[in-house]
Amino acid sequence: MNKYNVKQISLFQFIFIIHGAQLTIGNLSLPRRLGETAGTDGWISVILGWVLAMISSFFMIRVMRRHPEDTLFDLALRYLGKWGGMGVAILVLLYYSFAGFAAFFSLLFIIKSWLLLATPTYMVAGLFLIPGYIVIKNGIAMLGRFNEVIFLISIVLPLLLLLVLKEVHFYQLLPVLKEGWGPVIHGVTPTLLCFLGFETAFILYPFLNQKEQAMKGIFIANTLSLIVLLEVTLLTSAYFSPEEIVRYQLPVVSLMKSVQINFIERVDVLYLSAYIMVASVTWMTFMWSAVFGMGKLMPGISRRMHALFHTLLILFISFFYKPSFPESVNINYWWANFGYVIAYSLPPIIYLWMMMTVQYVRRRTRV
Amino acid sequence: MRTSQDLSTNLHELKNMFRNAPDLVIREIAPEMSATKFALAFIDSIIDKKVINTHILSPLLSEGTESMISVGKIQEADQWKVIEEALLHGNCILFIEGQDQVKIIEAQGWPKRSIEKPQLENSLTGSQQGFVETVSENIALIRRYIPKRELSIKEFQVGQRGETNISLLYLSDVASPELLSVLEERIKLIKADGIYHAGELSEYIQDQRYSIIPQFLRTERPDVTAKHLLEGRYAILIDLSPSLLIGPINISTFFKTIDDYNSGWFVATFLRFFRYIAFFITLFLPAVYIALISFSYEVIPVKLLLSIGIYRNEVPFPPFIEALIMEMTMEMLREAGLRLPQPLGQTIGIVGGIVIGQAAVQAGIVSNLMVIIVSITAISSYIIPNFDFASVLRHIRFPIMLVASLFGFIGIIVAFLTLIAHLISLESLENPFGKPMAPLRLLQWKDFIVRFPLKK
Repeated sequence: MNKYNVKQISLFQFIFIIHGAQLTIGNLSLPRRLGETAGTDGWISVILGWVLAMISSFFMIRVMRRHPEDTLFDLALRYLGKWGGMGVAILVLLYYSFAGFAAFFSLLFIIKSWLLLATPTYMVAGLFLIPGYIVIKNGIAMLGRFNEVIFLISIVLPLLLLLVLKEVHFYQLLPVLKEGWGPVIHGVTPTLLCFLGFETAFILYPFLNQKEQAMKGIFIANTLSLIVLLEVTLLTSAYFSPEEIVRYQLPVVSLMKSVQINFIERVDVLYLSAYIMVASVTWMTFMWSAVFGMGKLMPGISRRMHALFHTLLILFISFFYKPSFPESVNINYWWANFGYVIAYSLPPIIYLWMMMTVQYVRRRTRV
Repeated sequence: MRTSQDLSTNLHELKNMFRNAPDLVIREIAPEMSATKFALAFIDSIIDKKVINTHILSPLLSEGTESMISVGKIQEADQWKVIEEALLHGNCILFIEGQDQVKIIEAQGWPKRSIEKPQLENSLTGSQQGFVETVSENIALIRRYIPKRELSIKEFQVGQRGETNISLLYLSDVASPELLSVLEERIKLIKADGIYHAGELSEYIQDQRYSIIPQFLRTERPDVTAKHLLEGRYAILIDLSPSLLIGPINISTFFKTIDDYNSGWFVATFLRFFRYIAFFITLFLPAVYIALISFSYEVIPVKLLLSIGIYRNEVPFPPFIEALIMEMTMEMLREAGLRLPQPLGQTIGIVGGIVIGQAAVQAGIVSNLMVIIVSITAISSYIIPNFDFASVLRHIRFPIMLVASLFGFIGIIVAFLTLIAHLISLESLENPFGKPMAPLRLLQWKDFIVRFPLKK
C-alpha cells in the first residue's frame, strides 16, 4: 500500500517540475560567470555540468528505486535513527528552504535592479507571494499542474532567443579549447548551480505514477535544461566578445537588446518580464519542497499552516533583507555550496551506504 | 395521519387543512347510476380545466364509476401528507365513499410559455430550441436527442419551503458512478428555503464555494446538453429554471460553442483561436496600456510614443484613472442596456456612442488610444461564448488594471500567475479544472484549441 497513493503526478509533471526548478533567474547571468572562467569554451563546461548532474540523478534514482514509497525525509528518519535521522532531515529541509529563499531573492534583486527601481522590496515580495502561497499550500498535483502550464508558456522563450541568430558569429567560438581543459573544468562550477533542481526528485519520486520511467524522466528534464543553457551560452559567446561579456550583469537580456522589431523598441524588457514569470516556478518548487519537509517533521500541523508560516517568514525577511549585487552573488554562492552537498554528494553517499548495509545484512543472515 | 372510509370526515379534514386557500374546489358527486358517492378536490389555479371537465367529471357523472376516468397517470394514497402535496402540485384528488384509499389523478395545468430561441447562446446554424421553465418539458427536449434506456434520471427535492424538483440526468453506462454519489451528497446537503435558479444551485454545489470562476456550465440549449451527456457528464435540471447546469467541466468548455461542430474544422479552429486571444485581450489589454504608459514607455517605438504623447498631453488624468473612467462607463452602458426595456435600449446605444467616442476625446477627458483600447476590450469580452465566464473576466480586469498601475509589467505577470494558480487549483466535481493543459492530456487536445477533423 503506497502511502502517497492519493495524489500522484504523471511523467510529464515529473519532468516539468524538475525542469522548472532548474530554470532559475541565474541562467540569465550564467554566460557572464562562464565568461569569467571558461571564456568562449563555456558550452563545454555546460555539458560537463550536465554529465555531473546526470551522474547524481542516476544514483538518486537507484536509491529511490529501492524504496519506492519513501521521500528523502522518510529515508533519513528510517535509516539514521531518531536523532541522526532528524538531523539529516532538518539539514535537507534547511537546504530546500534556503534554495527557495535564494531563488526568490535573486529574482527580487533582478526585478529591483531592472524593472522596479523605486518600489520597496517588501511590496514586490508580498506581490509575488500571493501566487506563491496558492501554489505551496496545495498538494503535489497542484505543483505539477502549475509547472505544466508554465512549461508550455516557457517554450516561447528559447524560440524568441533565436531571433538574434542573424546577428551572431559562430566563428568566434573557434578554436575550441584554445586555452586547454583547465578553464573549462574551472567553468563547471557555475553551471552546477544552474542544474540544481533535480534533487526535488528526492521528494517527487514516491508520487510518480510510472516509477519505471523515472530514469527517463530525470534524463529528459536535465537534457531540456541542457538545451536551454547551451543555447544561451552559445548565442551569447557568439555575439559578445570575451572581454565584453563579463561587463554585462545579465548577458542574455543584453543580447535581446539587439533584436530589431518594428513595433517593439526594447524586446529585452519584455523578454526579462516573461523570464521572471517562468523563473517563478523555481522558488515555488523549492518552497513547496520545504513546506512538504516541514509537514514531515511536524506532522501535527496542517499543510496550510506550514505554507502560511513559510510565506509570512519570507515576507518578514523581505522587510529587512535588501538584495544587492554582492548579496545576490553571496546567497547564490551559499546555495551552490549547499547544493554540492545535498544534490551532488548526498545521492552517491546514500547509495554507497545502502550497498554497504545491504552487504552487511546479507553476510549476517548467511551466518 | 390516514384517511378514513367516511367521505364526510375526509372532506371535513381537507377543508380544515386548506382553510386559508380559497381556490380549493370540492365537488361532491352523487351519480344516478350508482349508490357510491364521490368527491373531487383540486386547486383551481393550477389544474387543467379541460382535463377535469371532459376526462374526469363527465365519465364519473355519466357512468358512475371511477374506472371510466380517461387520464394516464392515476395513483392511490391514504396518507394526508401525500394528498396535500399532490394537491399543491396541481393534481386532482378523488375521494370515494367507503374506501380509505383516495385516487390522485394527474391534471396539472399552469401558465407556461412555448419553446423559444435561447437568449444567450445563439446559434446561427444549429437548433433554435431553448429550455423552458418546466422540468418535464426540458427532459423531453433532451430525450429527443438521446432516445436511449441508459439515459437515467434521478430526482431530488430541495428547499424547505419552496420545494423545487431537481433532476439529475446522465448516461448510466458512460458517466462515472463516483461522481453521481458526490453530486447526490452535495445536493442533499443543501439547506435553503427555496432554490429557483441554476446559478443559485451551482453556488451551493460547486467545489470551491468562494471562487468567482463558474465551476459548472450553465446552458439553455438541449443540443449542448445532449452533447455533454454523451461525453459522460452530468446535467442538473431545476424545475422553474430555463437553464441547467453541466459538470464536470474544464476551462476549455467556456471557449466552445455548438456551432464549432457544425461548421468545418478549419473555421471552428480559427474562431476558437480568436476566442483564446480575446480572453487575453479582455483581461490584459487595458492593464498593458497602463503599464506601458506609466512604467515601460521605452518599449514603445519613438514615433508612436510621440503621437501618444500629443494626445495624452491634453488628458488631465493618470493612465489608470483614464482607463478606469472609460472601462466603468462601458460596464455601466452594458448594464443599462440590459435593464432597460427593448425600445429604450437603442437610446442607450446612441448616448453611449457619444460618451465612448470622439466627443470624449475632443473634450480632453480621454485620449484617442484609450477609446480604441476600451472598444477592443469590449468587443473581445463579448466574443467569449460563455456568458458567466465572460462576465467574471470583465470584472477581474479591474484589479489587474490596478496592479498594473502600481507595478507595471511585474504586476501584470503576478496577476497572471495568480490567475493561473487559482484556475488550476480549482476542481469541477473533483475533476481538475485546467485539463487538458494542466494536467496535460495530449489526447484531449483534439478538441481544445484546434478542433481536429472528426474521424470516420
